[in-house]
Order: sequence, then structure tokens, then C-alpha cells
Amino acid sequence: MSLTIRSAGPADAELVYSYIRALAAYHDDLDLVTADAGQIEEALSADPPYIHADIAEWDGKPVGGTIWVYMFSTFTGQRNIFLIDLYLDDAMRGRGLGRAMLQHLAARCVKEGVPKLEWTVMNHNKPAIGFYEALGAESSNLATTYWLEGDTLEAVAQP
Amino acid sequence: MTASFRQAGPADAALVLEFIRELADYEKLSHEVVATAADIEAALGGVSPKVFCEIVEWEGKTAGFSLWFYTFSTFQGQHGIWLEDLYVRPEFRGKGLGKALIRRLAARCSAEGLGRLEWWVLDWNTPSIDFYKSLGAELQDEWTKCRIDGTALEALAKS
Repeated sequence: MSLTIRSAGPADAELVYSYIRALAAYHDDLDLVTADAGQIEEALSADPPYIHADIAEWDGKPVGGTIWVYMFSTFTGQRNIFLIDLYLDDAMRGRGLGRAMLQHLAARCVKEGVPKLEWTVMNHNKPAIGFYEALGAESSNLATTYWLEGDTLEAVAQP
Repeated sequence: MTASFRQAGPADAALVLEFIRELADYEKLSHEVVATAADIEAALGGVSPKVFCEIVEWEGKTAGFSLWFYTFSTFQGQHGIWLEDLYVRPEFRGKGLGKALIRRLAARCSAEGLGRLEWWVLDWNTPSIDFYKSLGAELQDEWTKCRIDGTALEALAKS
């Protein structure tokens, strides 16, 4: 029984999309998912891709994945990797597979000279927070995200 | 008396780095800035992510900047804009230049069919928080930022 982690391509669009939906469902946010699998396929097919993804396979069967993007930090002057989604099938928890997926991504960072791996966690998600702290991740309570979308975005866009 | 806007290119790297340092100073994070002009020059001409920068001038004097790149929302299946830096020099504040820079980005989102404009703000930065709220921006305070870098990143990569 063994774990392999491979890069996802456009052919994995349905699988990656299912992980996006499953993660949203875990957060009770399924109603926020307005994307369709076609958009995810387009995102994976673009050159360069809009998103990157890795798939974890256990005995050859997909059991989870990571979805991430490159961002840029003006402080470091380098790009960093922002992990958008980390998903693992419920039945596969407790085997260190989540850690293995993060280790794989951390190894990519080191190989590519990317100094920072970042992500967000929901404040009430205690299991995840415990997991991340055990890996040596730091949390920043100093910064909060703001966003404009939908009607408020349109409103600000008006001259 | 008018504001004019122009896109910054690699040739503006030294000016953009000046702005980054001034913003870091305002945020009391000067110790985190290790970027060089060469890093910024490469980023402004780069591909993944492609970094964009807009400079605002007031009566021909450089007054401030916004620096941003496209990101992707797996929930929306759309690109958005991540606003990495927004800064107006103290002597040019109160003229609506910060609002104009954000408005121009919101207009770009609208024109290009992008789903979201988002950014971080430091929790103690009350003037900026008040400004963002006045625009109708929503605070996403259910989320905490996590990061892993330096020796912890290398340790995870090798584990």
C-alpha cells in the first residue's frame, strides 16, 4: 500500500472540481461554489495555468489533492505559493497523507527557490489549526482579508 | 490640479521599490523588506504571476502606487485581482488618490469579468480599515493567514 503524488492536468478537471466542491461542503459553503468543471478545465489547460494542482493517490486511486497558485510578495521580491485548497477523503485521514501533500508542496518551494508557502484557515477549524501548528507553520493574527465582489465591486467600479 | 495614472514597467523598478519601502515603513514592517530593484524589475516583466503596477501622479509628481496580479477563485471559477500594495505618500493624501487607484482596479474587474478584488490589511491600521469599509469592502475575518518559511519550510520539505 503506497502513496504517490502527481501533478494534475486538464484531464483531471472533474476530479479537481469534485475536491473543490467537497471542501466547500466541509465548510458549509457549497452555495458559494458557482464554478463549473469546464472553468476548472480551462484553468488547468491555460499556458501558464491559472491554477496548479497535485493529486494524491493511494494504491493508484485518487484520495485527495492540493490546488495552489503563484503569488508575489513585494517584501521578499520573490513569488510565493499560495495554497488555495487542501483536500483529503474522510476515510483516508489519520495516515499522514495531508502532511505528505504539504511536504510535497514544501519540497517544490525549496526546489524552485520559493521562500514562502501561505494559505488561510478558518478560525474555528481547530483540527486543521492543530495540524498546521504541528508542521511549524506560523499564523498571523495581524492581517485580515478584505474583498470587493458582486454588487459592491460594481459599485466601486463606477466613476 | 489633476491626477494622472500610468502603468509602471521594468524601467520603474527603483521607484516602485522606493514605494514598497515607504509602505513597509508605514506598516512597521521595514525589517521584512529584502527585495531588490532587480527583483522588482524581473517581477514587472515576469510571467507567473505577471505583476502589474499603476503609478499615480499629482501635478506631475509621483504620489503613489498600486501593485497587483491576477489570482483565481476555485469557488467562482474566475480570475480575480489580488491587490498586493496600495500606497499614497503622506503629502498627497486627502485628495482621493487611494480611492481612485482602487476604483480603477474595480473598473478593470468589471470590464474583464473578474470575480473579486481582494487584499490584506493590518488589524491596527484603523485609517485604512475605515477607508475600505467606506468603499463597501467586506471583512473576511473568519480566516487566519498561515505561512511556513525559512528553516521550518526546509524541514518540512525534507521530512
